[in-house]
Amino acid sequence: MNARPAPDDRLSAYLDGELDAAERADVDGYLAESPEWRAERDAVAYARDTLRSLPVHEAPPGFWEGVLSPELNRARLRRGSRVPRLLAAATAGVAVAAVVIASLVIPSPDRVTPRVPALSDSHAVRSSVSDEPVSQLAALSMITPFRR
Amino acid sequence: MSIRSPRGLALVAGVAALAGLAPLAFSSEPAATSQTGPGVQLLDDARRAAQEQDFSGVLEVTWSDARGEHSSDVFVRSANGVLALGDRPQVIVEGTRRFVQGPDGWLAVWSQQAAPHVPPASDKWALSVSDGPTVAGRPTRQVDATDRHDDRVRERLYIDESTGLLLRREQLDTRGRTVRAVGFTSIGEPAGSFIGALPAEAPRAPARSTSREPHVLREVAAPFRAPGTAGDRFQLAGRYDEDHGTLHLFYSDGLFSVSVFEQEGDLDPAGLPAGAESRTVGGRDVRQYRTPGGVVMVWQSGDVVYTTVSDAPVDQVDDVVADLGPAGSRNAVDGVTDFVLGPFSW
Repeated sequence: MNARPAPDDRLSAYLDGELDAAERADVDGYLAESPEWRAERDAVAYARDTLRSLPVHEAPPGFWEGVLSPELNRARLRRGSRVPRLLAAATAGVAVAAVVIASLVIPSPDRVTPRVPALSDSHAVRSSVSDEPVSQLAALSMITPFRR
Repeated sequence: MSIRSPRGLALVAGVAALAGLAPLAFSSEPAATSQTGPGVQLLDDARRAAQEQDFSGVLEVTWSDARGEHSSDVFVRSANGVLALGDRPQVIVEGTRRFVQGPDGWLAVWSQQAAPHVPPASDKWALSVSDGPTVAGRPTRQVDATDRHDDRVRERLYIDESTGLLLRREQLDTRGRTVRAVGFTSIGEPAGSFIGALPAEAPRAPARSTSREPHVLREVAAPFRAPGTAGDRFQLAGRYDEDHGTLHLFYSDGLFSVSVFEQEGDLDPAGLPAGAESRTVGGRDVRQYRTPGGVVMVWQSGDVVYTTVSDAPVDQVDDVVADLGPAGSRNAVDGVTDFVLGPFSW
């Protein structure tokens, strides 16, 4: 019997549609059988969606022209100062740290499974107060596959 | 009880700080207006008769879902102002009080007066009255509820000529076909010999019960929403705080009602009952159940999981679903992004 592996990088490739047919069949099988694989898939999908939904900030007018200006680039090369690179590295580091801290402060969303039969009962009860009670409440006393 | 998780509180605080949003407050619930006409009067009388008349009988509930048509019988007994449904029974009605049999005994699930908040049926529906067929051996008056906008009959009610009891109601789809029905197949006095399975004694309200009543809410805070109207002339008639952080909104058009339950989080479909149909309603992926009591829809919008339960025709419920969800509010990712990137913006 083949042991089922722990969830791995194939999930990300799976969600990106980058697996070949055989690998995809393997992952489909794991997802069908394993709550652990399904939970990991949901987590990976949530992370991907969150990153992809980050807004794109427009640069101010003239910024890219300045960056791409040959004279400016040559001047920068001549200066050869390390200060701008250090500043850029520090800025990037702060940004990364802020993202990591924010991800720790804001927990992942609660997983919710509505108790559908109980909510149906709540509706019937509330309806029966302002409507004809027999017809509204009849379903509450029935045993059906829906009411488990 | 709080209806927000810590994450919800954090998000609301963050969004309020960043965007200046505050929890929404809503006006008082709509007051009922006077209702006139023979159809409205017959329906009002039927509501009272179910609890004031002494009777016993057998109801047949008929509904259909993806697996076909189903029917089930329910014993009903009313005596001395107490109504009982089910042969154990499972439900007891005494005035405005409602008791439901739970796994560990009786649950008191309602005790509040709520009828004054329901809008008049005649605002949306034309109720025409005519001589009806015989139902459970009794002559009836038939009330047809016709939508004033499109002249379609969506509900037929058959009312006992002599007692005023509602003997049968049928719900019709847009093509006039009956899709769900509840009606007596037999009815008589409480001591009638034809209902041998019923206990001899009159039903009584439980002496002991555990309270599971929802709390009335005056206002609703983000991320939840409670529009004053929804769908095709459904009006908000009540806001309640249910167990497990669930907001319950109750909408009515005077004839049908729609409950909207809102829970903060991401939908985990693994624990939902089997048998859902997948549909797209108002651009949302919806899981739909057709049950003896009506239609149930479950879906996600933003950070909120919605469950809609209704005795209304499904096309009417679709319109309510399409009206619900975030109203242009920024989501959590937007708030976090602004917080992180704000200091580095140009």
